[in-house]
Amino acid sequence: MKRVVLVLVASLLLALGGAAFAADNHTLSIEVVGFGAVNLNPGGAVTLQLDGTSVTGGDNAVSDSHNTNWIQYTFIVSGSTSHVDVQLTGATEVPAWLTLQVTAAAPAAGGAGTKGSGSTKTLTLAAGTQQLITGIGSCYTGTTASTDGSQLTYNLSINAFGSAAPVGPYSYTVTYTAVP
Amino acid sequence: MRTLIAMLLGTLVAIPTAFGAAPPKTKVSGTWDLTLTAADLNPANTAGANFPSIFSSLVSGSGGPITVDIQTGTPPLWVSVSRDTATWAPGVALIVRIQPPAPAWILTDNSPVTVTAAATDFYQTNSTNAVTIYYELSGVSVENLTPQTYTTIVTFTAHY
Repeated sequence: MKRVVLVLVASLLLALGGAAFAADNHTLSIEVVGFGAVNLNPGGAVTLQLDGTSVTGGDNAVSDSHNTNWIQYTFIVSGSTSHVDVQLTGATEVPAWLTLQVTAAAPAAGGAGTKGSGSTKTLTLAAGTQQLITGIGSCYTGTTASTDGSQLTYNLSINAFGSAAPVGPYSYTVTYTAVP
Repeated sequence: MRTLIAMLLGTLVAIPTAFGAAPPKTKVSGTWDLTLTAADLNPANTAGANFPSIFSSLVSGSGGPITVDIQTGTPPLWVSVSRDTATWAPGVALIVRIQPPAPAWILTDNSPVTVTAAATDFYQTNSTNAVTIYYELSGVSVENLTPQTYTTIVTFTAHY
């Protein structure tokens, strides 16, 4: 008789357990695609001109600079080895007695994530593609003008006065590329 | 002993009665697959931006939105929602809702409900009619993400 009672109790428990069949489910997935994107803010043409303005006679510091552009970017990547590259293209090589450089400052506080480190690169046609901002992981810089991202400073100077001569104007395209 | 057996048999009969003619059952229809692309990240195509909230309008794949159909059970019934403990996108909240206005037979709409491993009552219904639901994500921030697919199983349970 005890066996009968045990069987009945087991049946009772199974009947209660039947409530578990009240559920149904489905699979839900999201796929996050890796990518990188850059934007120059505000962008537009940059003119650097060595015209002697503000030069004191006898001065060797003939240069011009421009720093109103900021580069802003968003990355979703694995690790922190992504970078923003810079490349100069144009019809005529930069004269050897001129130095054209671009500096990407340390990324500003806006945004979040691993925004990498800026550097200074000398721009020539021969230099090809160069890594300007390195060590980038998943991040975003923000999009506010003049405060978010990395400030870009172009500088044009004479490195060999003995070779300098009136030349130009030369026109170049500077291309920034996000490399995830 | 006969008395004991009679009592147990009586209990077996009484329990299904107490729970209704049959335990309630739910049926879920539709899949939900969402690919977060660069376009999804930046509707304005502006680099430097973070995610906007990704709403169901960005659902891709087949079958969305999802339908929850109570197939058996005597109203009023509650439908709760939960998910498994699979690794999920860091910092991202999975939210489910009935698109307002809720049907008239919904007695209580707790939308939006954040779906977690713990079952949360989603809505109480006075009907076994199917309800169309939508998912959305919030808290998505690019610095927390890496390129990969996150998958979870969402369970809807009808209960009294």
